[in-house]
Amino acid sequence: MTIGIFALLIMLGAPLMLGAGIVRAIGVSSRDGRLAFIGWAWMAGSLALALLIDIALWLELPLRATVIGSAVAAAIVASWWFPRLTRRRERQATIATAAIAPPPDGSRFGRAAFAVAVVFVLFLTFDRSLIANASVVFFGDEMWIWNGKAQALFTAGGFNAALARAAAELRLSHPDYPPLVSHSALWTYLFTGGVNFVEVRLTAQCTVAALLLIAGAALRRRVAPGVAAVLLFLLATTHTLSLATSRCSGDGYVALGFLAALDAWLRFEETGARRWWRWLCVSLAFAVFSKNEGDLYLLALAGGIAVAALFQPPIRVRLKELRGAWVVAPLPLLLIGVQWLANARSGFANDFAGGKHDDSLWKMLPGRLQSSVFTKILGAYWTTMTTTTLPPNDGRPWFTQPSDQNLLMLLALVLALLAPRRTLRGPRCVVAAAVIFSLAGMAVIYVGTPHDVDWHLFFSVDRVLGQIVPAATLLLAQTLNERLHDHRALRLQAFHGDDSGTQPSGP
Amino acid sequence: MTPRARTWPNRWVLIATFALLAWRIAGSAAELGRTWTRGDVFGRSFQERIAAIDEPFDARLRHSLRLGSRVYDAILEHVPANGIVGLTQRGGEAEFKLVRALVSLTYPRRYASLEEVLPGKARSAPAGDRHGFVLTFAPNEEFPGQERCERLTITPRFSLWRVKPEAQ
Repeated sequence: MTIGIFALLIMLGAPLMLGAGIVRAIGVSSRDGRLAFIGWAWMAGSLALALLIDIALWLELPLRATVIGSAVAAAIVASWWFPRLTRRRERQATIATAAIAPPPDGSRFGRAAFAVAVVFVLFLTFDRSLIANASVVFFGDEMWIWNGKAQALFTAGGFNAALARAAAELRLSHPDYPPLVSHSALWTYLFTGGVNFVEVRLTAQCTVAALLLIAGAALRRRVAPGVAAVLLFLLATTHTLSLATSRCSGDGYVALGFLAALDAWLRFEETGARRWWRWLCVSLAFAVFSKNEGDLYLLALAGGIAVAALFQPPIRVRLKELRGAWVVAPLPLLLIGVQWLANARSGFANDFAGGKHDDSLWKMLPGRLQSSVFTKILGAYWTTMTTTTLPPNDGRPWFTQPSDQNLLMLLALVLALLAPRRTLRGPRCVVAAAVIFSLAGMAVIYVGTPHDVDWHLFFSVDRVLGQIVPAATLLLAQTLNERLHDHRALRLQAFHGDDSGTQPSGP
Repeated sequence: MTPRARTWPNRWVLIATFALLAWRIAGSAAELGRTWTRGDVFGRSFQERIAAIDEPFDARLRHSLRLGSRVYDAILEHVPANGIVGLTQRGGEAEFKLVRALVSLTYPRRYASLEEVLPGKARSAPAGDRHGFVLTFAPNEEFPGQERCERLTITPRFSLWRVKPEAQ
């Protein structure tokens, strides 16, 4: 490393402090989940940091530790002093939502297993980071998209003509991509005295740790601790999270944004507390500022909420109760706009919008609506979801070779679709619909790709489907909790030999 | 339907689900165990990885580029920051990857086609005020305009040339 321990602590501690202040200002506290709070703080801090750097780039301020560091320090103080948005006690939820079976407290063994799983997955992330960081960032997406963009921004000092020149000289693949990952990389440059090729990965690796903490808390909230431990272990060993830890890329970021948004929705649905709605909007803002797939997940979640509101009157009441809290809803759209403006000023365009090719997504789509294209896409989905091991040494030797757990997504979908009416009318409706809409939306993108479909699927399908796996794991936990609850209730009924008594919980 | 009868489908779904999860846990655990017992790609154990936590950048770069690090060293030694390196179109995938890596690692040095560095006599100086260099991945490879260059480095893997100042 070219960085001392003190600088390292500030580099990773400052976003955490800033984020903790922001999360508290939103009204969420560590009482809502100690594990998740650390993850939420990292998310909010990373997003705020990226926005500060974005402002510095728009104003073409000097990218020096003193300048950005002062702004971050001021933001930390402001976030901790800012009057809590929820000073007034929030009205307790009075509307009964669809019955939610609370997860059992679990046995002592189950709770111990969950604690061991949390420690283990964090250790696994740490070890994967050690293995990855033995090599420098020099190849692939982490260099040609994310670190390369940070390098170009650092060289140009703003969204200007020099940025376009630097992007061309560095041969960047997608300079138009959202900036959160690149801005996080740029943040590390301030501590290493210039462009670096190792420390840039640290922020991405902390994002994976944040994802695992939030996932652990979300799973534990919805299923018994032993089952949560199993699902967390399997999630941590997915190919996607292994890659996200080993490379400085946007996949872990966007997966985290989607998962945190779904978890926030469920908490909002369960409690009616508006702070969760605010956190949902911040999570989606994090996702759209990370990667373009974030826009898709924003639409998928909005679609999921619309479907739930259609079938469940209590959801409509919940949304009506939001009143003034709706004001934060445009935050993700605002960030999409900021990104669009930065691209327009720098002369970058997305290849799906006709940036590098003559044909955009919407031009390609009508001509590609053929069964053979859909067969290819569904075949790729199926292979990705059912492949349990990667080919031995696929030429990318700098990360551990894990088993692939996209199977978690397949299980979640099958179990949710086994009881479609219950899924539509139950508490898992939004998550199930968001996951299904995401998969469908991804398929539409593959149909309209300006690239060769086979080529595009080969290079991306496992990665982008992997972004949905944490959300699908949450769905699996919800479904398993319901089924386990039913199983216990029915066994109890059978034991008492009374068929007219308690019905299984849930709608 | 009696409660006992209603229990069965749900029970089988749960059994099948947990069997699949158990199968994947075993698979993942075995995979991780193999990784930890045989060491990482550099053959390091966990303790060795911890010991290497403060390994300097140069050592990490050498792990990553392997033999390519000699090209990297030669570029940094001879090519100034405003230099432009012309590439003869020889070399395989490994050389392509190396050049892509050098583009970032040695920025703002630029990599371009040979014609940009050694234009025909009719054209003026190559790329403004940039110093011209030529990198070949076959040490004895001949290229057009070679007489206008002087060799700086030669190894079995590559050679680096400088366009003579009077030729620019």
